[in-house]
Amino acid sequence: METEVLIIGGGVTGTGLARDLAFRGISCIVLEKDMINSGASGRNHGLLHSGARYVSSDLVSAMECKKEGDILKKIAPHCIEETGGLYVATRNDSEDYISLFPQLCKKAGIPCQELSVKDALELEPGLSNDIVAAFRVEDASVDPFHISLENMNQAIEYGARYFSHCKVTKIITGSKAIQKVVVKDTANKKIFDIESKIVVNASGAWAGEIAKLAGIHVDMIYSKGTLLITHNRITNHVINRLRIPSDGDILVPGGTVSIFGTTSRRVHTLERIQASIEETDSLVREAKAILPELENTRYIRAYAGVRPLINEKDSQENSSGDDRAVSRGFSLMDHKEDKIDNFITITGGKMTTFRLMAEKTANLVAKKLKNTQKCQTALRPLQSKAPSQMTEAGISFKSWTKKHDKDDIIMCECEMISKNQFKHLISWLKKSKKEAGLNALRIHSRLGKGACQGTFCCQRVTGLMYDEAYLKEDDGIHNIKDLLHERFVGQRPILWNGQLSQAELSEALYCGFYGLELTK
Amino acid sequence: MESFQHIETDLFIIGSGMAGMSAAIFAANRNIKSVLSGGAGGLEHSSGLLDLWGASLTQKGRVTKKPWDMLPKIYEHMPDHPYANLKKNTLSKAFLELTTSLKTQGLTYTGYDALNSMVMTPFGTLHPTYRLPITMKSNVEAFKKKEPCLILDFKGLREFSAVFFKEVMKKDWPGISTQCLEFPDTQLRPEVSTPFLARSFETRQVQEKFISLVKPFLKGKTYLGLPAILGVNACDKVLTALEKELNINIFEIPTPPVSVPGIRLKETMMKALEGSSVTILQNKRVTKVLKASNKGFECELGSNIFPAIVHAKAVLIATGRFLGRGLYADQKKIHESIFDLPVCQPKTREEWHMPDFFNLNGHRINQAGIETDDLFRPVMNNKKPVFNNLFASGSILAHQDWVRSKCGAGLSIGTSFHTITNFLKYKTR
Repeated sequence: METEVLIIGGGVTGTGLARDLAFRGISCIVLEKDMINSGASGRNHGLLHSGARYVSSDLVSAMECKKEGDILKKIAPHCIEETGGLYVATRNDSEDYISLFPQLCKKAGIPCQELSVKDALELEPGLSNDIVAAFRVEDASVDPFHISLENMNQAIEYGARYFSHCKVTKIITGSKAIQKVVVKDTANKKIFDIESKIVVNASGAWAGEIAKLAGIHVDMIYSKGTLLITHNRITNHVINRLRIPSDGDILVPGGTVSIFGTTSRRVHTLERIQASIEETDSLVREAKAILPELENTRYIRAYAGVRPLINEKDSQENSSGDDRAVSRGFSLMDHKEDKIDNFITITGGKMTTFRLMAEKTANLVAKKLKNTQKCQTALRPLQSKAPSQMTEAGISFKSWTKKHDKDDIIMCECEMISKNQFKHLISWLKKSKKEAGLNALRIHSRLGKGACQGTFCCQRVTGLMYDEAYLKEDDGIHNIKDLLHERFVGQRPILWNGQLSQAELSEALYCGFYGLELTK
Repeated sequence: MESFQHIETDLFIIGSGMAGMSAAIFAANRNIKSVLSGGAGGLEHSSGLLDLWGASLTQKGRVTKKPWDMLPKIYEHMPDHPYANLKKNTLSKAFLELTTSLKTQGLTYTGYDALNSMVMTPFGTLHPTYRLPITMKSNVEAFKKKEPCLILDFKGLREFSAVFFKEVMKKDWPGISTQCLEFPDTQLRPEVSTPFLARSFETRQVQEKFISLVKPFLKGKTYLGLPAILGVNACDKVLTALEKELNINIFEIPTPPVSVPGIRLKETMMKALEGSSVTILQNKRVTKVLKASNKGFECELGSNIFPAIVHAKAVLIATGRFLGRGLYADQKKIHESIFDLPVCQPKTREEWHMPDFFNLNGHRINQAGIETDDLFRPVMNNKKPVFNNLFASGSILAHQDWVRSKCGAGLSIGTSFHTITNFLKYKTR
C-alpha cells in the first residue's frame, strides 16, 4: 500500500490532520489500533475550554484555547453546545487566586464577567450555598466523538483512507528516512506494509512507543485522569472550581448527562488504564464542596484517559504526583533532528486546540512535500455527509419526532434511538466497510451509553443486525459479550445504589437466563 | 394525621417475588393467617422457568443435567449455602407442592424427576432448568431431535429475532427456517410486546387468523417455535388448540423481562391465593418498622391512599436483593433495608466485583446477604437470632450466587417452604 502521508492514530489530532491534508490535496491514510477516539480524545470531559483554566499557569495555552474555541464554534456548531461556564470558589479556596483571576483573564483576552453569589445561584440552583465568588466565561460542551467522526468522514470524502484495528508493529528505516511501516490488522490477523513519503506520529499517549519503533526517544509523562458520568444532567453551565487546578474541579453538561472530573495520577504504563474505586471516591468527596447534589446522585459510569504530556527538561514530578504543572501546550517534533527526515511527531495539547495542532503539523508536512496549498480547516464547515450526528445525546429523539414516521419504533429507550436510525447506520457501515457490529454502532451512536448501559438495547439491536444480515452464525453472542464487558469496566467503580441494581439485572439476564458466561 | 388501617395477622410476608409469593402459597395451603405486601416487579421479571441447580460443581464453566447430584457436593463444599440447610426431600416436596398449586389453577409445569431439561433461549443458548411450563416441553424435545422446524417472529416485536436464533443454531441444526409474520390485528401497532400478544392470543378470533397465517409455512416441518406468547391465563388450552388444528408440535421460547411466563406465574399464584388465609396488599412497601420484638412486630406501609399498619406475630422478609430493594448499598457498605439487619459482606467495595463481568468465579457481592440459623432466622454476629420470630428467605440470603448457580427458583421455593413449615412448629411451641 502506498500513500503520501501515513498518520498513526485515529484520535482528534490524527483525524483533524487527515482533514487538513485532504483539503490540501495530499493523500493520506489514518491507522488506528483500536477505534476512533479510543485514547484521550474519547476520554475527556468534552469541554471546549474558554481558556480561563490556564490563565495562571500557561498564558499561551489560554490564548490558543480562546482563539480555537471561537473557530470551532463557527465551523462545527452542530458538535457544540454553547452552555457558557461558571467559575465558582468556596471559602476554602485561595483568596489571592480569586482576586487575580479576572485580571489574568483580561490579560489573555478571555471574556470573564463577575457575578454576585445570588445571581450565580439563580443561574445554577444546584450550586452550593457556601460559594463565595463566581465568574461567567465562554466555556462550551463539545462531543469529541462527533468531532473526530466528522474530521475523518470529511477527509474520506476528499480521498483519505482510514483503517481501524490496525496496529503498527514495525517501522523500517533506511538512511535518513522511514522506508515502510509494517501493520497488523488485529481483526483478521493479516499483516501488510505501507510505504509513504511522510509518517506522522499522532498517537497521543502512545507517541513514545511509536517513536521507539523508529529508534527515537520521546520522553512522555503519562497522567491518568478519571471522570464520572451522572445519570442526569446536573447543571446547564460548565461548572469550574475557581482554584489552582486540582482533582474534581470541572462538571461539564453533555446532552442529557453531566461529566465530572478529573483526577491526575502519574502512571508508568499504558496497559489497563481504568478508573479506580479510590479515584472515584475521591472525586465524589471533592464534588460536594461546589455541587452538594453530586454526593448522592446516580452515576452510570466512570472512565479514565491518559493525557499525553511531553516531559520537558525542567518539569519534574512533584511530590503530590500531580502533573497539572506540566505544560498543556502541544509539541510538534520534526525528527529531521534525529536524522529521520520523513518522520514527525505531534502530541500533547488539548482537545480544544486540536485543529491548530493539525494545522501546524500539516504546514510542516506540506513544506516537506513542497505543497503550497494553504490550510483551509478554519474556514470550511466541519461537516461530512455521514450519519455521525447520532453520537450526540438527544439528537436521535429530535429527529425521530421530527420525521413522525408512525412505523418507526424505539429500540433504545435510554437514548431514544429508533429502529430506522439503527438501520440507516447499519447500511452506512456496511457500505463504508468500516468497523462491524455492536461496538461500531456504539461508537457511531449513543447505543449502550444510557442508564441501562446496554442491558435492554444490546439484545434488540443485535437481533436487528441479524435481521439486516449484518451478523451471521454466533457473531451476535460475541458482540453482546464484548459490549457488556466493555460497559462493565466503566461501571465497576460506581456500582453502588441505583447503578448496582442495574448491574444486578444485567447479570441476572445475561448470565442467569442466557448463560453467556458459559459460552466460548 | 393520617388515619391508618390496622391489620392483625400471625405472619407478615414482606416481598412479592418468587420467595414471598411461594411462601404465601405454602402458608395458604396450611391455613396460616398471613398478610403479604410488596412492590411491583419480582415475578414479572422472572423467566418463568423453575430452576433447581444448573451449574456443574465438578467442571467449572459447564452446566449439569443432574441437579440432585449436586446436593451432596453443596453439603460438603458449600456448608454455608442455604441449600446446605435443606434436605433433598424438603426441596422436592416444595417443588411438588408449588407446581401442584399452579396446576390446580390451570398452569401446568413439567420436567424430569431426576434431570434438568435444557431449554433453548432466544440467543440459541441452552438453559438448564428443573421445572418448565408445558408450553416449553417441545422446546427441549425439538433440540434433541433437530427435525425440520419453523421459528416465527413478529413485526414490531423487539425482544425476539428468529434469524438470530437460527444463525446461532444452524451449525448443529440445519433444518431451521424462519418467518416474520404480522401478528393478527396489529396492523395499526408499529410496536408490540409479548404480554400484549399473549393476551390477544386467548381470543378465538386471533387464534383462527393466526392458524391461516402460519399454515402455508408448515409443510414438511415437525416443530413450530415462537416466543412465549401463547396466552397468559389459558396457555395450556391455547397450546392444545393450536397443536391440534395445525397438526404440529408447538413450543415457546422464553423471552427476556417483562416476560409472559413470569406474568403467568404471578397471576396464577394470585388466583391460588384468592379466598385463602393470605391477605395481599399489592404495591405497598414497608416504610417504617414501628415495633420489633420477640412478641411481635408493627410495620407501617406508607401510601397516600390507605396507609396501613400491620401488627404481626412473626415476619418473613423475602425482599430480594438490590433490584428488589431488600438490600441497598452506599459507597461503603451494604445494608438491609427494613430492619437494618447485619449483612455478611466483603470488607471493601474493591472486593465487590471482579474486573471481568463474565468471570467464572462470579462476583463476591452476590454472596453477600443475610446469615441465618437453620430455621432461616437472621442472626447477629454471635450467630444468635436477631428475633425469635423473624425469618428470611430467597435471594437475600448470604453465601449463595443464584445467578451463576442457576438456582433462583429453587432457592426461593425451598427456603420459603422450610420457613413456613418451621413457622407452624414455632407457632405451636
